[in-house]
Amino acid sequence: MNKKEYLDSLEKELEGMSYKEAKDILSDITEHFDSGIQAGKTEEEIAEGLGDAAEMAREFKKGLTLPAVIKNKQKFEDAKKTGPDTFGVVFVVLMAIFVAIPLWITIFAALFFVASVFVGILGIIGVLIAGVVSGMFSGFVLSAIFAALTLLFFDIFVFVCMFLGFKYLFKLTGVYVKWSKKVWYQGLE
Amino acid sequence: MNSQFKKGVLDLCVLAFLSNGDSYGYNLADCMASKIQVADGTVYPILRKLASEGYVDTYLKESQNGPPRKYYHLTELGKTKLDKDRAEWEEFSKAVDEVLSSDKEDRGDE
Repeated sequence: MNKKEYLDSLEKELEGMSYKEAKDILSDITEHFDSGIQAGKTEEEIAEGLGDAAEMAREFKKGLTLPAVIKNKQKFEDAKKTGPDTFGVVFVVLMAIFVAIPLWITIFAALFFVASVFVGILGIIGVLIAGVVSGMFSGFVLSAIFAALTLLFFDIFVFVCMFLGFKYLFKLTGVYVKWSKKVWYQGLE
Repeated sequence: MNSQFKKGVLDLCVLAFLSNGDSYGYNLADCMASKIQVADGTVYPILRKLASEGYVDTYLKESQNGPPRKYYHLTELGKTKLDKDRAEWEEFSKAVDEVLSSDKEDRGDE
């Protein structure tokens, strides 16, 4: 196999890698051929020495740059082994005391208020229905039913707001805790 | 020799080789291949992986006759990695030696 044949077969085996990466690899191997020729070897000898192109391509693919997510995770695990970052710990604690915890309590209280509104309206609806059923509202049954229905739709709206509010509060809390852990060990980057 | 043996320590060998000074691909491949009997091609995927992990960096340097060559340089991170891996390897190979020699003794006793 000569230089061109080897590079062609390697190029074929590198399929699936990015164009830039494959081009880079092919230029490295081209350089290897050129250096070998300068050292007095024949193209065939060099190709033979390089070994199987498919095997080499497989190794290149194994060593592919890791996705950022995995890389970050590895970085975090490494930082965890070396222990907390002093500045990171101070930052996390101050941030929690002065910003995160007060903010969290405020939002939670607001949502708690919304929840009590939801229950309150439910109570009023209950009274209206009870009134209609017991005949207490005999003079204005229709208006009572209408009022109950209106309140019911409003209450459904309140419930959706409350549900989404709690959902995102807990989601954000999770993200915040994760971020704090990262800063705790790695500091601010 | 068992190729599985070699695979694990080739990274370490490449790092150790580069700790003696910067080098280019062909030279590295040639030295590795002559010492550990691997195909010349095996060093390239390793060099690429080490570069992507920040253990080595590369630069181009003119060669006397011909196009510029890509040189590989061990970074500080790479030096740390080399020290760590070398210590691990020494510990491991010592342990293996001990196991192998105790195996011999046991057989001798029988």
